[in-house]
Amino acid sequence: MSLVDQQLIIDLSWFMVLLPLVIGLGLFSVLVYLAHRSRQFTHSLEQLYRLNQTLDQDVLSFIEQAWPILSKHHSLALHAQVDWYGEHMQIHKGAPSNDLNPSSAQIIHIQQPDVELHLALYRDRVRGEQRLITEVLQKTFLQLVEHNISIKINQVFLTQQRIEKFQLFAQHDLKNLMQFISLLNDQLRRVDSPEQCDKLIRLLQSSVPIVQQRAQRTLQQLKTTLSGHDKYEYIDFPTWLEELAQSLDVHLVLSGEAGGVYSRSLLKEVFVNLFNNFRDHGCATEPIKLQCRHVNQGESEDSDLIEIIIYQRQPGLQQNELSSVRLFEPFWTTSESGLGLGLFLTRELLGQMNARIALLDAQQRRQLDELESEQLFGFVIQLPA
Amino acid sequence: MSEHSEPQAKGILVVDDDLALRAILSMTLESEGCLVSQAENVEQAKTHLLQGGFSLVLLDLGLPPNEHTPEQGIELLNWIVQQGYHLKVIVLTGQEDTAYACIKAGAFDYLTKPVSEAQLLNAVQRAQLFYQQHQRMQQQEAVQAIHINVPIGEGVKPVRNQAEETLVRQVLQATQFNINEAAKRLGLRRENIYYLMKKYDLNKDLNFCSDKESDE
Repeated sequence: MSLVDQQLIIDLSWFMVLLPLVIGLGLFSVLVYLAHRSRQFTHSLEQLYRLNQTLDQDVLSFIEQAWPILSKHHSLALHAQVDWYGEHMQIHKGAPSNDLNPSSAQIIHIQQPDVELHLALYRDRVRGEQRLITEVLQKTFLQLVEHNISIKINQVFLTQQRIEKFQLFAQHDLKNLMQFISLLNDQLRRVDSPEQCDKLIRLLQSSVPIVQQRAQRTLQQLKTTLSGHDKYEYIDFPTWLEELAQSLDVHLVLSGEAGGVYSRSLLKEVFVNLFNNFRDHGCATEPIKLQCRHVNQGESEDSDLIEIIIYQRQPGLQQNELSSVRLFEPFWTTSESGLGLGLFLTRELLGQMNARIALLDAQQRRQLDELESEQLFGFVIQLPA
Repeated sequence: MSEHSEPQAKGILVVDDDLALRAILSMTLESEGCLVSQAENVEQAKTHLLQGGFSLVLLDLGLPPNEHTPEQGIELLNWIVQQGYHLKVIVLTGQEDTAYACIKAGAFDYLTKPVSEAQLLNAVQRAQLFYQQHQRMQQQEAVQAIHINVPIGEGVKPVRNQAEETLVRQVLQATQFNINEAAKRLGLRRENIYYLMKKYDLNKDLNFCSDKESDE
């Protein structure tokens, strides 16, 4: 065998040894890569579920905070338009909309009483297993959002039902009273002997105190639920609010003048809610300031407004953490003991009077206090004059 | 062993947590010659009913501990029907949206407060009439009326079983758990009664006064 042939054989032998080695290494690398991708994907899925649990299935927080997880896996953008219990907001994460391909989007649209959400999630141009992973992650995210919204709606619905049921049973007490009086009346008409009279008197002696208690309780319940039928009267705001604040032991600093004809009980509930909100979440050492004024909107008197600004200086306040969407959301609270209904009910009550309430914006805060506007927290209420 | 017969119906049980209303209802019924007992909650009502002797129950749905829901009233109504008592239940309640649940559970009549004395007495009279005629059917013609709610579309076997269970339960209750008497009334042998009791788990469900012994 010549030297050339020997060399060829040796080369071939090396090749035969190296080839499977290279192929094996290649396969191994692919496996390692796929295992790594799979672990990343599983980890991201777990992160999504854990995040949702940590946030207590809160819809808006979940949409905001899930974006870093989604963007790690080739989600290009998230655009959402939310109508949340009367408040509108838009959420934009990632690339602007003009850079996006609509065909790469996964979209959900939810429309319920009080809640409407249109959410589009865009994917980057990826292929193969990367595209699959991105799609699955996005679908999981969207399903969790839908699930969270369903929980929220049920929560509000169930509570509304409970409140309605409670009102029904307040009527139940009233019906018991009416039943008693009706049957008593019939018995009184029948009395035609001293024995019957004595029997009736003994019954009344044992029953009337109980009936009186029940009547008082029912009347109290009716007073708080008849606000829609309360009489309207002229209210001079500075005087009335001063008295209200004193009765609630609230330190209030008033300025301005305004007055109008409104439901006293409705307004009382509104301002009691607001004062409680400042008491529970504000600064105990700072007074609550209130300005009221008459605003001429146009030539017609019908468009005139009464504007009441209620605010407080709260050192350490983080303005970027405040959102009117959350503040007026039912059952959303930062307080452990609160229900999260105060501001929601306040807005509903004002709505009954064709009035509005909004969080003070930056411009309004600067008008109140140029230097410390970032420390101010409050609301502006507009009532029809 | 002496034969047991259905005790003569002698009274109306008024079940309402409102003391004043219970008192005036009782007075109204007593003025018509009715014998009235009172109960303010489910447990008291059951104690009275176990002693027997009622033809009619006037039942308020809102009973403690949940006075503001119909749960306790419906529970008592279900218990009465399940026990096989041959009495009529008139529901007298302040709630209008509980009619379906009450009638489904076997109430004879349903009144919403406030009712007039005339309406109340009319309902009581109707209930007593039906009660007496059912008693007569049973005594004179050995015919017993039973009430069952059956789902349709699931065949007839569940219907047969439910009717069988209801009848056996009622007869056992009426004979105060006297197996001999129950077998005689149903035209069965004692072994059959034991079999049916086991089949429908009637031993545990039936609550009788502890001093009454079954006759074997």
